[in-house]
Amino acid sequence: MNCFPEPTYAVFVDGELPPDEARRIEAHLLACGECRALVEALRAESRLLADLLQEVEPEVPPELVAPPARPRWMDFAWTTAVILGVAASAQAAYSWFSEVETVPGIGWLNPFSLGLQVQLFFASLFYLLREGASMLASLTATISALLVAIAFIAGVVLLRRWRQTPRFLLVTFSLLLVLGLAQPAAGVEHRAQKKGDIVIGENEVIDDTLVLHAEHITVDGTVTGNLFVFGGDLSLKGTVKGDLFAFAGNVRLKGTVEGNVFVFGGNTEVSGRVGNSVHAFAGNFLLPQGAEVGGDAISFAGAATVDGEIKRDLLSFAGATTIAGGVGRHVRTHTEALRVKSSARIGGDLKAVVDKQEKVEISPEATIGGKKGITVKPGTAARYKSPPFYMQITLGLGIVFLLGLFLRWLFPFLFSGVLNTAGDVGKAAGIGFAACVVPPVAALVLGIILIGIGILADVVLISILIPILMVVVWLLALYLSKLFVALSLGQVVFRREPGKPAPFVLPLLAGLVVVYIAINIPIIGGMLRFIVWILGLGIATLAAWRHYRRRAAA
Amino acid sequence: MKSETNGMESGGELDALVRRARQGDAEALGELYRQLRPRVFGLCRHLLGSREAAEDAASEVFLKAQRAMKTYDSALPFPRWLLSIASHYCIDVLRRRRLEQRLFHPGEIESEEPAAQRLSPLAEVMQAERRDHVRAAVEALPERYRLPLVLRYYSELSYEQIAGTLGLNRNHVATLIFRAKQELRRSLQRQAVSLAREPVQ
Repeated sequence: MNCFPEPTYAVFVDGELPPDEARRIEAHLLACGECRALVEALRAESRLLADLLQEVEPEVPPELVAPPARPRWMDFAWTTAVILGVAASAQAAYSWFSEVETVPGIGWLNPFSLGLQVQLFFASLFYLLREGASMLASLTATISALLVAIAFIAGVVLLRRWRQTPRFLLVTFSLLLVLGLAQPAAGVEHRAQKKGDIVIGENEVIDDTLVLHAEHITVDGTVTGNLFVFGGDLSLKGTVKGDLFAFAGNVRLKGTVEGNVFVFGGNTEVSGRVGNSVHAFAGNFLLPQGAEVGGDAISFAGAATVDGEIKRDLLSFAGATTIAGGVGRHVRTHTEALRVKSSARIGGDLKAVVDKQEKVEISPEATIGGKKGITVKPGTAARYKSPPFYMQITLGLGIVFLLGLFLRWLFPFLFSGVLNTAGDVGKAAGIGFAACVVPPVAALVLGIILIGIGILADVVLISILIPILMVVVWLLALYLSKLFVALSLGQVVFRREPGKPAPFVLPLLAGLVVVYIAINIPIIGGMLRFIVWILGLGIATLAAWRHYRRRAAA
Repeated sequence: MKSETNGMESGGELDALVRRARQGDAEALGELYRQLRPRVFGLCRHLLGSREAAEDAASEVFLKAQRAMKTYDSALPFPRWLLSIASHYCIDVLRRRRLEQRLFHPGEIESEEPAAQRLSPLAEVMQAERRDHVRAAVEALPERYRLPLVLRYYSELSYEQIAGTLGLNRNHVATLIFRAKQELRRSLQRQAVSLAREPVQ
């Protein structure tokens, strides 16, 4: 009898041959020693394979052993209780604060006043985006930074220490939002005129918050609440007792605003009297002679010209800044060209950051009470020659490293980096790009929508906190994104030994050094920094996502 | 059989857990997770070839299983049901990884060249370090060989079941498993040769 081919024996060993064929093989095996040996060897091989495959190396991260299951109703009860508790306290706090009569002039310090809330939003944004030190002087910025920090820490503690899920936080936040918005929109009057003008006559008194929406808006009368204006242009000769919020092409304020002024407009001229601060985001910002601002003036403009009086600080980010009037305290400016004329009177310091010394023109007759400090932004070449530059880098590296250790203590899962293959890098880059771009846009859109809703309900604090937090977390994430790239780089060198957790401290430090050197290389450094942002955010987002899925599975 | 007891409690206890889990008992679900995760992870590890991917996949499989709990038919042992979810999931993942959707080309399988040289089966008695080599060689196998091999020797499915899972016919499965083993033998022999050439240090 002939021997069978080896593949047939392999199928036979796996017990997958039809019975009659199997019988024929068994008969042959009795007769043929060579085939018997082959079949034995094949059996052994199958056993070996089964054995080897069954022995899988165990999963590493011990933190992911499923936590003991808790009955669901308890989760539910807890969630409900906490939400109700928080909502009730918020409600109580709101009604208490909104009833409190504060000393005139500091009413805006009330955390439930619209002025502070909007100020909070913008001030904290710019505080974080620009060098914060100059704005730290401004009390509002300090408060806002503090509030944002408290909110952030509270969120982290809730998440980590009380082990609440993000969903829980989301529910709480939305509920608070709804509660906040559900406050009676008392005393809001709304007038809209799609085409044409709205005129509030000289003798007209609006005893409410007023919202106006038209192409041309003229306010000659008196508004006792806040005034919101959306339109082509606004001319105000009358009086607003509350705050003014203007979204308009041209804004001319000749009258009086007793609270704050927030302007988002093309040309903005404030020639009247403003009781508190002016915030102008404008193409041109002009404060002509005779104008009076009781608080600070903060302007982001193509050109800012101050001929009038500012009682407190002037903070100007502008293409050209001209000061010919009076500023009670400090002047801080980031500008391309600075002119301080002879008529200028500055009570405190004058601090300016400029591109070129030639663009600074300070009249010797100008009065400056405090110190004068002009900083010329160092050119790229000069930067590399100065020792402080390297000290700064080293300091920055140290801080990021410590933050990395802290972050790992708080969120170990973020560091289960996954850049093993080119595919991983691509995935991280894609997700990272989205993570770089989406949050600020989303925060902006959300901010605009929520301010819109908040205006109608006259409560903005709670709704405004969400976009603020989004931006804060996003900026923080950009800043910390180096960590994840550094760790991935470092772990290429310091490899994980089989069966042991991946090394952390040394690879992180080594990686950070590499990253810091890379992002400070002239010319390509900026690009590398961008790549680090994208990759770092991608790695962290992926890790967080994986962690979330595993938690969900557990 | 080893696979049925690997990291698991006795059958009766497991059945009870499954029954409770099907009624929505979170504690029972958690316990099932604890007991069966290593096994699911192992399968995903072999099929997907990387630890991270396997960790993700194991989580996804449990989420899927939790959702599909109502459709579980108790005629099938629960671990087997879970592993079949896992293998389907991993095959999906592998499909998504490539531009072309198909993992197998039946025409290719039939036309594959048989091994030129005769290779003897892997010996059962192997030193510990060689076992690592075998495992690495399994990991390095192309997907079309690794998948059927793992389903056969890890999940212990029949040729018929493997064919069903991979969308092939039974003969293809037999061919692929045989080729997979030959491929393993070949790569290990190469290693053995290169090891033999290295001077002993």
